[in-house]
Amino acid sequence: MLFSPLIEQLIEALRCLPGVGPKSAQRMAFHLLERDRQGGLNLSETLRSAMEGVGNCEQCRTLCELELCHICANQKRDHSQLCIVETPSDVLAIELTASYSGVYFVLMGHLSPIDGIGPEEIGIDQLLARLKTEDVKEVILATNPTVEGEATAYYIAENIKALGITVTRIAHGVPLGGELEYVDGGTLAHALSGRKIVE
Amino acid sequence: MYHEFEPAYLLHSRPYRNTSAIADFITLNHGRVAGVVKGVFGKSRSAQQQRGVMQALQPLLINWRGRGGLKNINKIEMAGSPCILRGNRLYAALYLNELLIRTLQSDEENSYLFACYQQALEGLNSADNIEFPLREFELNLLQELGYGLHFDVDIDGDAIENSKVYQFDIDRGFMLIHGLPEMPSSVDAFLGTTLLAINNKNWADESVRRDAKRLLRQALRPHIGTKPLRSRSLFQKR
Repeated sequence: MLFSPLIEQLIEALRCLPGVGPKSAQRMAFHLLERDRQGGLNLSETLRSAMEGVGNCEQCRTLCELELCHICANQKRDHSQLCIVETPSDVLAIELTASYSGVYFVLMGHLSPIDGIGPEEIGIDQLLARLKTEDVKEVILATNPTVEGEATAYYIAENIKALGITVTRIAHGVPLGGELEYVDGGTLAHALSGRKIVE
Repeated sequence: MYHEFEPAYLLHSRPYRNTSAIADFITLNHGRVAGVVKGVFGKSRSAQQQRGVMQALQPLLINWRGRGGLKNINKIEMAGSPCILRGNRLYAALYLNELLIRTLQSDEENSYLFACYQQALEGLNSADNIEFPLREFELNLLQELGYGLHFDVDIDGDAIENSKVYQFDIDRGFMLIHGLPEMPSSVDAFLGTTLLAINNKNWADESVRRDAKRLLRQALRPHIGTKPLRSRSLFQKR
């Protein structure tokens, strides 16, 4: 054994972080032990309280430690528009555009039969129950433009149809500042099939 | 061993390590090929483009290195326009992929099955009823797994007759049921007319389609393992 057991344990524990191999874990461990004991203690306390305290928002399923996340609890937001996304980081991405003021529903994944993820796992029942009780006028499907994301979008759209709510899907297309020559064929095909009349 | 520009379809991929993926393909000359695609979940523009290309239901050309186990897949290119399916047709395509993942062994050469898969995807895109391509693919899959069914002769070697009723036995085939003038309610009993219609790929009659579905579910069950196929749940409305 190269290090004493506790240091070894710390290095091993740090390796659970993405992108951290043995060498970086070792560097982090020594940094905390040699130079930043206080930072290490803060990290451990915050880590513990976050791991124990953070759950899912009761309405939109995103990660948060309160019953309702700050978006769902905000009465100034438009609660008649509901945007359905796959992950909490998708919520952040849409929030950063500052062009959406409705609320969200986070699936925490997408339909993927081979991985054993079916409708129950992505909270379809919770979504339908929410749509039945709340006054939602438009559902925006913002799942990823992958085969699984499309399947998820269609599945949700099909199940919502009966409720008489408008269902929209975000557009796929050529990125801003992109050059057609370098855009892949699939994206270009989608962009062409979803073209719009110039007004 | 280096393989270049092998026609393939992606069946399934999952993230691996930080930016890589483990992907399963069905290929023309090498059957199912599983391998690591490095850096595909990275932030670079080329990684983003590769993510766009590495999609299921899209004809691809792939290069890989290595023998046995996980290969090192180092190039993926598009080889045609993607098959854009919607609704039930898309779920059916996911069902095909799940079926192949469950039944196919790695590196077993089978170019006929590849052609069948391609044909089934085209069928899902164009057929009036998605059951035609699905049933035909299931029949071909059984055939290629080495468990093909004979719809024209029973286990005694006699020709299947329209007016008789047969019992399906997974290991042996169709067995004539004597002295039963009417259709029995048992799940493994089938009318001779139905079997002959399946043999001729004549799906016009709804009862033939229903029975073919029931029959193929039974026939495929030993090959897909004990867990039920999850893609079937997509067809059920909530």
